[in-house]
Amino acid sequence: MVVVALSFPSAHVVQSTQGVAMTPASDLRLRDLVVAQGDFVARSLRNLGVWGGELDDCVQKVFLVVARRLEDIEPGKERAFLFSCAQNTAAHFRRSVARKKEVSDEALVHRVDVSVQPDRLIEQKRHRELLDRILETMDESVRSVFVLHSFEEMTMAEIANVLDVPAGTVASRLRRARQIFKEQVSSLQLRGTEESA
Amino acid sequence: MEPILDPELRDLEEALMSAGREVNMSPQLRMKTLTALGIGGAAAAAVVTTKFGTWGWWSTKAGTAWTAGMVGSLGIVGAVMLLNSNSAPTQNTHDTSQVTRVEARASTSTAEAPLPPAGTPPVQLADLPIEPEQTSSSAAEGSTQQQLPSGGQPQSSASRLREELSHLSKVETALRAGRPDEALSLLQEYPARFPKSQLGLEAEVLTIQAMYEGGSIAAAQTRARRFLDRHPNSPLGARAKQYLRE
Repeated sequence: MVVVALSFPSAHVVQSTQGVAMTPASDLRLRDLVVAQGDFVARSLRNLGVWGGELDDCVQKVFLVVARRLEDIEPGKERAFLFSCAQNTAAHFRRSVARKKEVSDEALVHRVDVSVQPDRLIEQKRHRELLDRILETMDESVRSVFVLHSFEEMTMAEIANVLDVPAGTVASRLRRARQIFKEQVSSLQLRGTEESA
Repeated sequence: MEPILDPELRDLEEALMSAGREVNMSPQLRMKTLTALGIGGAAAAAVVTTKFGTWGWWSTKAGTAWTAGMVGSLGIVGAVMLLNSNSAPTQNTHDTSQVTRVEARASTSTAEAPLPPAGTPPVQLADLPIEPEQTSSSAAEGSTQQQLPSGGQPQSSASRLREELSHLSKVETALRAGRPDEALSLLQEYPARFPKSQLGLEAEVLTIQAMYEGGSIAAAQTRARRFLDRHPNSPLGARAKQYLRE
């Protein structure tokens, strides 16, 4: 993805909705993060277990945290910070869902975007639900590595940087994640064969 | 990425992997987030991503000063771009389908204003529509007038919004070119064309700007005061306020 950042003069200091005074420089940095990393945040949250209408809210929550902590984020460590926020937000979401104990069928329908064509929707819905089921069987630490490697296509070194863990740990978690994924997909495939027979 | 599964399971693996990648931040959510952060729709134009091929041409021009000026002064264009990027075949986050405000920071350039073109009809201030009590989509719920394109089919919310943005970008273009009369003329058409306006506040601020730049200072200020009274927390308030300065 090519990102072209353009700088605009802004003579004023604005007050964000969170009561944080934004200088033109921080204003621009925040804009850049939302535009350039918004997809990364949305995808990470979704693959960390956030779904339905809550996904939008969680994306906004992450960026509101970023706005408050912008000065603390080291240049070059933005994705690490964003992913860490996404992990915390997703964990909170999962706990709140777990507290509700059961998810209604109506809510399950909204796990998949409804703005796509019906035939594609059915297929997408099925695959998304299968993936959710598999991801839910993974521990959070294993899941995070798997999500960053498989869906964000990060190298192990990048993941180690984002998660702030040794590369060896990333490698072992990834091995474990792959093993779980393989077992789960095989199991799903087997179940599908049995059901069709 | 190296394959994870045995060959016989690869199709399912690929499909699941695709499902994991098919999530993006919707353009609507991006604008909402920027607005919530107090940095508005112009921010959408500040950084142009070329992930979607549709907008590849933009990146080739983005480095030029011309593009920088255009994008910087015309946040609406960025918003249009983001809306169009929605056509990419990926799963966007939950479609909020309601973008209530786009803060497009208009250029405050003080370039010498040329005379309006000969063909531009003069606009009487009395003819200009006054901002309705509510400018969101709910404001026109009682209206029996439906927004129908030439084919008579109901338009989608995104399509209507795109048209609104396009219309307002014309207004901004006229203002930047120093043609406030033309801008006012376009703004006069706005409520009739978009009775269920989603960008009514943006249109109102542009009206204030056009009146001010057209020399109707007192009328613009009255209107700006009314805007600030009605919408004290609007992210567009700062723009309205600047016309209150003597």
